[in-house]
Formats: sequence, C-alpha cells, structure tokens
Amino acid sequence: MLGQPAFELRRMSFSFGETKLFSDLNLSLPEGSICAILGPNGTGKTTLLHLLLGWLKPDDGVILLNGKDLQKRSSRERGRTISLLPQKENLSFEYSVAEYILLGRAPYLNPLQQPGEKDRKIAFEALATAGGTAIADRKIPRLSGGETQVCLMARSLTQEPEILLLDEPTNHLDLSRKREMINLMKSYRTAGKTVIFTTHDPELAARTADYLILIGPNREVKSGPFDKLFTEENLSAVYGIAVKIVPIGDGSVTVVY
Amino acid sequence: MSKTVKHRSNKSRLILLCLTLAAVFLLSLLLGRYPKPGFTPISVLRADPLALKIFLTLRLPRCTAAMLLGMALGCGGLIFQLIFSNPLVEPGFLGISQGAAFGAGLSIILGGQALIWMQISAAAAGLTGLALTYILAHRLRFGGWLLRLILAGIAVSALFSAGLGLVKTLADPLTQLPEMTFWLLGGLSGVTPSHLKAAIPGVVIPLTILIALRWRINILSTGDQTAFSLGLSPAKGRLLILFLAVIPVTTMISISGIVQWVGLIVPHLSRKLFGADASASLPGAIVIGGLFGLICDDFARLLFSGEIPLGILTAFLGVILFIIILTRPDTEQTC
Repeated sequence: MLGQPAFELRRMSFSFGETKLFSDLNLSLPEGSICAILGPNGTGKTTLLHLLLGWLKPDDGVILLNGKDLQKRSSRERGRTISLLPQKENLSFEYSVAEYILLGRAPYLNPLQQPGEKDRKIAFEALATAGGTAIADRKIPRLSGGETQVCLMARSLTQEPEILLLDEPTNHLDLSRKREMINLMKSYRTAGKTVIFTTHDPELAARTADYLILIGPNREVKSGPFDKLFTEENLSAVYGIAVKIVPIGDGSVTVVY
Repeated sequence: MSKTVKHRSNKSRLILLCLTLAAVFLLSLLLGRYPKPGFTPISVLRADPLALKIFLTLRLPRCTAAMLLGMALGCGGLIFQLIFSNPLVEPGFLGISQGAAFGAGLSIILGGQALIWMQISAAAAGLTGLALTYILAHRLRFGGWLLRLILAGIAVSALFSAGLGLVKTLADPLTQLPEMTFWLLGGLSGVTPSHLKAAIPGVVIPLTILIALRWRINILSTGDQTAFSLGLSPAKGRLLILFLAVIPVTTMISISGIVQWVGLIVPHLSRKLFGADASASLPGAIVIGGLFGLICDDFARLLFSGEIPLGILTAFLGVILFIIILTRPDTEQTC
C-alpha cells in the first residue's frame, strides 16, 4: 500500500575525500511513509539525510525528488518541500524561540519581505504542535537539550514541508516528549507527508516506521518494507552482535542485545 | 500575544531613537567654535555671513560624515558579528579597516587623487583584507572559531599596517606625505562637501539595501546547512551581504582614517535594546551608530580648542562600554 516514491536514488555514489560512503546505491522511498534509517555509528546515516536534503551532492548518479532531479530544483522550491531537523545547531545570539522558528517561513517570502501576521500564526501553531508553546519567549542559548530539540522541530514544521528529514529526532527528549515526537511523526504520515529519520534506537523505529533502510558496518545498504527487513538476523548483521527482538504488544518491541 | 507587544515596543523604541538622532544632529550643527565656542544661535547664522558659510561648508558636511561613519560602522559590525557567528568582531578586527586605509594610502601615492579612486581602492583593499582574514581563519590550527577569526584579523591587519608604512616611506615627503599623515591621524576635520558628495552613494545605497534585507540576514547567522535547509543559497547570500556591509565602511574610512571600536560596541548596544533579531537590531545598530559617531565627533571638535583625533575618542568611549556591557552577567555567553 506504499505510495509513489518521494525520493528515488539511481546508482548514486558519494564519498568524503578518500572514504567511499555509498557506491551505486539504488533506493526508493515511498511517499506518505515513515522511513527509518538504522545503522552503526559512522556509517553515513546523517550523510544520507544530507544527500536527500540536497546539501551534499552525489558524485555520481541522481537523486530524484518526486520524479525530478533534486539538484535541479530551485532553492526556494526545495525549502518548501523538504525540512531538516538537525542533530545540533550552534547559535551565538540570543534569539527568542518565537523569532527563531519564524525563520522557517523563509522559503515562502521574497528576500525583501518581512514575515507578517499569517507567518507568525503558522509559526505559533507549529510551536504548539511541537509542544513548545511554553518556551515561546525563552532565549535559544538558554534552552535545555530537549527544549532546543522542540524548538528546532517547530522551525521544521513552520516550513510546512511535504517531507520531513529528522536526524536523531528523540535525542535529548524525556519520555513524555519522546511520545509526543512519535505521535507527531505518525500524524504527519496520516496527513500524507513523508517522514525520514535516522536513529540509534531500533525500538523507536519499530514503533513508528513502515519502511526501513539498514546500513551495515561495511556500508552495504538494504531497504524495504519495515516488517520484512526488521529481523533479528538483519539487526545482528548490521550491529555485529547478537540481537533479539521481543514483541511486547501494541506493535512495540524490545530489542535485547 | 507577547510577540506582537515586543514588536510594537521595538518599533516605538526605534522611532524614539530616530528622533533623538535628529535632535542630536541639529544640536551638533549649532555647536562649534565660531563666532565663539559653544552654542551658535540661529540669529547669529542669519546675521553673520561667515558663520553661515562655516555652518554650510564645514559643520553640515562634517556632522553628516560623523553620522554616516557611525552608521556604516554600526551596521557593518552587526552584520559581521551575525554572519561570522562571532559577537567579538568588528571591521577593525577583520582586516577591513586597515585594508581600506592601505588602499586609500596607495591611491594617494599612485596619484589617484580623485576621491572616487581613493574610495574604489579602499573598497578593493578592504574586501581583500576580509577575504584574507576569512581564509586564514579557516586554515589556522589553533583555537576555536571565535579566536581563530580574531587572530587571523590581527595578522591581516598587521600586514596591511606594514603595507601602509611602506606606502608612507614611498610617498613624496613634500606633497603626499603631509596629506597622508593628516588623514591617517583619524578624524573628520578635513571633510568637505565634495568628500561627502562622493561618499553618500557608497554609504546610503548599501545601507538601504541591507535594511530591506534585514530579516533574511538572520538566516545566514544560523550556519550554512540550516540556511540551506531553509531554502537559501548561503554562499551567494553571504557574499552579497558582506559586500554590501564592507562598502560603506571602506568608503567612510577612506575619508576618516581608521576609527575602531564603534563597530564592536554599537551592535551589542543594539541587541541589548532590540533583541537579536536583525529585523530590529540592524536598524537599531544603524541609528545608534549614527548617534555614537555624532557624539564622539562633537567631543572631538569641542572639548579642547585643538582637535582630538576621533579614533582616540571612539576607542575611549567604546572600550568603557565594552567593559561595562561584556562583563555584565546577563550578557549572552559564548564559548
């Protein structure tokens, strides 16, 4: 029941200097799904996300966004379609959360335009959706890790994207915020959007994802519908240790290692 | 919503500051040393043709130049701090000011006495200074980004100062050297209407464009990857904004000589008053810069019967404010 591909990678290769990260990679990420990217540290999960964003360019091959070459999209069109929740961001200045998330409206405004009431409203709603109404007037450098995550998520949502790229979305989040994040991801799928996220937490993937990309220790990539790929055998191979998956009801699992 | 309230209070604050600037500007025009030190009543301007002439050909251009200098430095400082994510930089710490001084000096000995050549030469050398600083900062092997950028700026500035020293030894001691020395002392005592006519477009046009782009400039302060994910082309945007911020600074420095600290301290004052968002803090920095320039220059002309170099006053006042603001516990802290 998976839809058309939101992203399609055709024989894509990418390397950082001497290190070849991906070669001849073929992938197809269905639209309207939640796709998890799992793999050990340093295998290129974040790099893959940055390639999908268009921030990194493939050395070879193409990445198609809704059937068109991602690199040939205008920057504004790209900003309206894809948003990124980064792992971390450095800010030296004391922007308030409200000012900061408003920056997510940039792809909708021409360079000389100032955000108006409508933009403020969208930003405020995004902040509410991300569960951060209470921190609207706080200064960014003084937020805790979890609050920063909420703020960055709100900015992503302010972009009203079709595709959300989330880099370790539950980092720093406490249990209740983690559940909110899970609900948020699911509600975006319900609304027909595509969510693609990296994580170190297979349990989170099991609770949310319907599509899976596994990057192995030697950067061999497997992808497919979640239930087919999320097996003890595959996880053990990817992480290089024996892994057991124990279902605990409600579609949730515990991963024992 | 608190957002709107803040929006409004920022607006009224800015209007108040603009009115203050206008008042200080008018007052500065009426302060001087002729016919007697202190305040010149308007009746005197009417009665005394020499007083009127001084008013129009000396004070008016000078006060305007002081204001524009402050505006250019305040605006430049804020933008450099934002774009380099470094609250401790200003044009003088990035090789721009010394570059501009070198460029202007070079044009004097090469015989390009025309003001426009001096400005172009100052702009080219100022931009080169900034580029060198930026490249060097990326290659330095010591320290974090804040430190490396400042170290690189110090090195590049020293390079251009040495270059300027060389230019001075090459200058004709009878015709060019006096002119150059006078100008390098810093200050606006030599400003003429023709200086101003040449400088106004180089300051006013870029500042106007920057004010129009003020909200966008915020996005460049978030870092390249974020700016990209928000649908910008950060490399192009940054080049454009830096270019627009450098030109007013080098244009004014080609008239005034090196004036430091204004570009460091004015943005801090502005962020204290208006918050970090450049929508408010950029116009704020421009107006506060104008005020700062005018007030410092007023002291330079009026405090003693001889002129005090402007750079000394801005350094004095700037450093005092620097110490007060940057040591306050509520000031943003960066590693």
